[in-house]
Amino acid sequence: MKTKIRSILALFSLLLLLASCGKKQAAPVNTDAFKIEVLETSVPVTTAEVCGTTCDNVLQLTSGTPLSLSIAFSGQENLAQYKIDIHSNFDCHAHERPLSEWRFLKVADISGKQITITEAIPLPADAFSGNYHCIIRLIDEKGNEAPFKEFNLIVSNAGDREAPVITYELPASDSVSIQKGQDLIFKGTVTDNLSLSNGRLEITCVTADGTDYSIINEAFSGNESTTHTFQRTYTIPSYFASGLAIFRLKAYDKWNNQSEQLIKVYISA
Amino acid sequence: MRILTTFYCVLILLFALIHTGQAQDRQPFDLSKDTLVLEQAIVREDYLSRTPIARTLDLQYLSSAQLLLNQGNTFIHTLEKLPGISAIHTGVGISKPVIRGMSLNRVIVNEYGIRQEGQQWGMDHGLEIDQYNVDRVEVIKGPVSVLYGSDGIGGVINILPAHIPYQDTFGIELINTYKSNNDLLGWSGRVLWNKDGYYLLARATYQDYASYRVPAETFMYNGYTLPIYNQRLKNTAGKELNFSLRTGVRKKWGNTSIYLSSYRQKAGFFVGAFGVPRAYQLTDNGHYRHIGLPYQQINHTKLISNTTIFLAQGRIEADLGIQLNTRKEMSPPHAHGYGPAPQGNEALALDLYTLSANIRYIYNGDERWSSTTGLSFQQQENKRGGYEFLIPAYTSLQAGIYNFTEYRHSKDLLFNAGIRLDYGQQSAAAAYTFQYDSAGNETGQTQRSPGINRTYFNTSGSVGAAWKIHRNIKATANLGSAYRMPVMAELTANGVHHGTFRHEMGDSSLKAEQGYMIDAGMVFTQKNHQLRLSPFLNYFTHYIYLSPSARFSPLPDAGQIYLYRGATALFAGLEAQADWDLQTGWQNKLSLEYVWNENRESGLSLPFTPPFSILEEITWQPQGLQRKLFRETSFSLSGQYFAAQNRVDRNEASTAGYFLLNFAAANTFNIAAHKLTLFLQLRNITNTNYMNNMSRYRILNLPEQGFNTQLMLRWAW
Repeated sequence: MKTKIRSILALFSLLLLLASCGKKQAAPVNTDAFKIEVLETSVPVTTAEVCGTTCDNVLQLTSGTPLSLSIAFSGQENLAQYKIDIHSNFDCHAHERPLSEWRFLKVADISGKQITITEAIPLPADAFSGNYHCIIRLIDEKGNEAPFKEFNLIVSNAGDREAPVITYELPASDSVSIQKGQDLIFKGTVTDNLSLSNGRLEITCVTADGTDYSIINEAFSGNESTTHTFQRTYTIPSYFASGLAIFRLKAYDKWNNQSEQLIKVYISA
Repeated sequence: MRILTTFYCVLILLFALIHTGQAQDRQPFDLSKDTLVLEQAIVREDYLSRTPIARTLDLQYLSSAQLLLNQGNTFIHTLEKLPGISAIHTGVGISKPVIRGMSLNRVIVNEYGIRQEGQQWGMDHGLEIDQYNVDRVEVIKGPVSVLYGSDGIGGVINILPAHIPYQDTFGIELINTYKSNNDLLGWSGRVLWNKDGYYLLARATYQDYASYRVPAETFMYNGYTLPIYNQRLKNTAGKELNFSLRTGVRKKWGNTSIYLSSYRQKAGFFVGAFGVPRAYQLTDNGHYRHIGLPYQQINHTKLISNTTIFLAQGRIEADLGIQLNTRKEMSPPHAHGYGPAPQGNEALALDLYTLSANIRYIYNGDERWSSTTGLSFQQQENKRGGYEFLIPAYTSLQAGIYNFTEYRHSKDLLFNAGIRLDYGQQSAAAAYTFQYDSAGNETGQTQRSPGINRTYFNTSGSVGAAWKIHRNIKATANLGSAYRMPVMAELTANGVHHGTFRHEMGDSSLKAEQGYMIDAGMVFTQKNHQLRLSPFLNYFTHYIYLSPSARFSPLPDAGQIYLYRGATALFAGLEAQADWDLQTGWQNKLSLEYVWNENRESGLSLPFTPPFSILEEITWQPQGLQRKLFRETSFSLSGQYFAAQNRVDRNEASTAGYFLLNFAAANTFNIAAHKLTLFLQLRNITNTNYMNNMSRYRILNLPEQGFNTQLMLRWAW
């Protein structure tokens, strides 16, 4: 009996031993040694408001003037590639895809454990105003990924820095009451100092339960001058939550300069 | 190494405890007797399994009372308490099972004999099961490919049909649930009826929960500190609406039943989970029950028929099923890239139709020999929609034939062996997406995934033995082969995985996953003690994993390209469980689990490996109380320690260890014909701030759910 038990115990020990052996785990990546360091930027890194929050990684740029970055990449293993990716973040969620936004995407091979590069990134004169993300990534030849570096870019169009102005007659004030099923009329004008060509007027709404709705999206034509008049009717649907809804009117000019007006609408059943 | 030392010490301690037990308390331990009860089912405590391979593999069982007493956020969250079972969570509403470190398509979940098919290859695709509707569940750990075919690698979770109501009865059950952490309100009601052998069971469940609370005000992401307002993770609310109906007849000739179920879930994802989380997205809007973008909407509908016909020397069983899984992942489209912006927020829409049939003949006409011979068949069609490309539309077919034979050499010794032949077929047309230039003009099409037409043949087998070495000691051993057909994502994926920034690429020439698995088991039983050990060792000749390529994706807002590849891999580990009665009414349970694995190609661990953990639970069932007001009364306090997980894959962060303290109590009041049961649970009592390496939100460094009071009231009539 005892030998039986012993032999079983021995078998278990063997299995456990097998379970515990194996190659030593490769050393974890040391993020102090494997990193992206931005040494120099052509404009100073500042603190500014982006989408309503204060960010301390902002580069304020003017269209037509290139952005220059001097970056040191270092790793424990030989480095493989870096990637610089700039794309718009116009409405803070990046739903929109304007055709002539500025974008930049570069993937480059690198070698060795340490390298410093200088990247002159062209910023065309006709770039839209607005905020953009700039993300710098690094991988080594084993496929380890370094923590990425990010900048918020605020670009102003050199030719036009002035936002359009929205004025409305209807609704009658910035705080109105309405019942579900009734019509809410938006009537007014958008004016701009230079041009509203290919700009737009967006009306969105956040209802009392926190749901976002896109109400009206009015695109301006390519030959729109400096004034656009609008009149749109919206029937408050029955599925809207009762209570305070915030309607947001947002206008964009030719160069994506933007302004907004908020209207409080009390919705009842 | 330190973990292993601790491990050995605990084991030695357990052995010592067992051997100091009173020697005269011998319980009869007759294996042949156990196995002859109820059509050769095997006994585990009060449970008899009908699955023959459960005799030589590790089996765990939970009844509906245990499931309610330990109810977690989801069915799989509840199962996590069992040694060897863990889960990959996405918040509180979405979880998928992990057995011994294996997940996705490596674990089979059967409900009423039909394999649940719901795009289980996705890390944040949860299991679509109404947790109130699980009456009994068995979990078999280890290779079950021989019985279930492809995917039976890690093990199987069998959700068994609810008990048929007693003859000529009618009953109603109502459950109300409240969970404080996410303000969950839940209702589940059931009706049961039986007249002359014809019966009906119907259930409806509704749950609604708000965003959950974590014990932190901030989290760190890529060097930035980001806010968690009011300690709530924004947009993690959800709701569930489920129905089920089962009707059938049980007579002397056998029984047959039809089961219809519908599961519908809408669950929000943390707002920062689908890209770089940014402070302005996280601002509190006060709408904690609101499910905004991104969210997922899942509907899973099943129609299952189960039939058993008794024959002179055995029985025939047939399980047939139709399922439709529709998945919609809603998130605002990304602006990045050329061409017109997608309309609407439907990122991904997948409709999966599955037709299944499992038919088997069970022979038990001989005292020594018994066998199960079966056929299984599954056909699938997947359709896709949405502006994101992840996997193409495809069709697949699987068919298998097997025989599993058991030989009882003596009352102390049993052998089993099985063999199975599998055929698989997958086809998909090449998928294309439009290409645009920087002016937004269409310039042609890019192939996103190649055309596929593949067939697979596989033979798998297993041998096992169960041996009663001594009247107190029972040992089992099993050797089996594992088999899994690659899933479509592994063959064809070509796109950025939201949240991880990985550009995942499939390989249409991948072979099937294959391996060999050894399992052992040992149960020492004395009157007041039981000790169970189940070590395992798995060697994969071809294990499919995502390998970093050291090349960046050319797509905007995307990181590195990861390729699906095959490598040899090794898994080993153990579960140990010690249960003993301290004195009348007092029980103690101690269990531990450990998984070690290695990808032999990279020399690193595989991702999402559960950490070593020890669970200690002490339960008090007071005796001699007033019977009307205090029935099934129990109080239990448990502590679970999870060690740090430093064995991680490339680009997967290490996770620190943590300790969680939980309390559970239950009592049944009998008032006339009414039975009122109260379940109380306090989870994470110390409101510990910890991260779980098995959580999908680990990559964002988000802490897990904080303190939670759960109150459940069940009224039965």
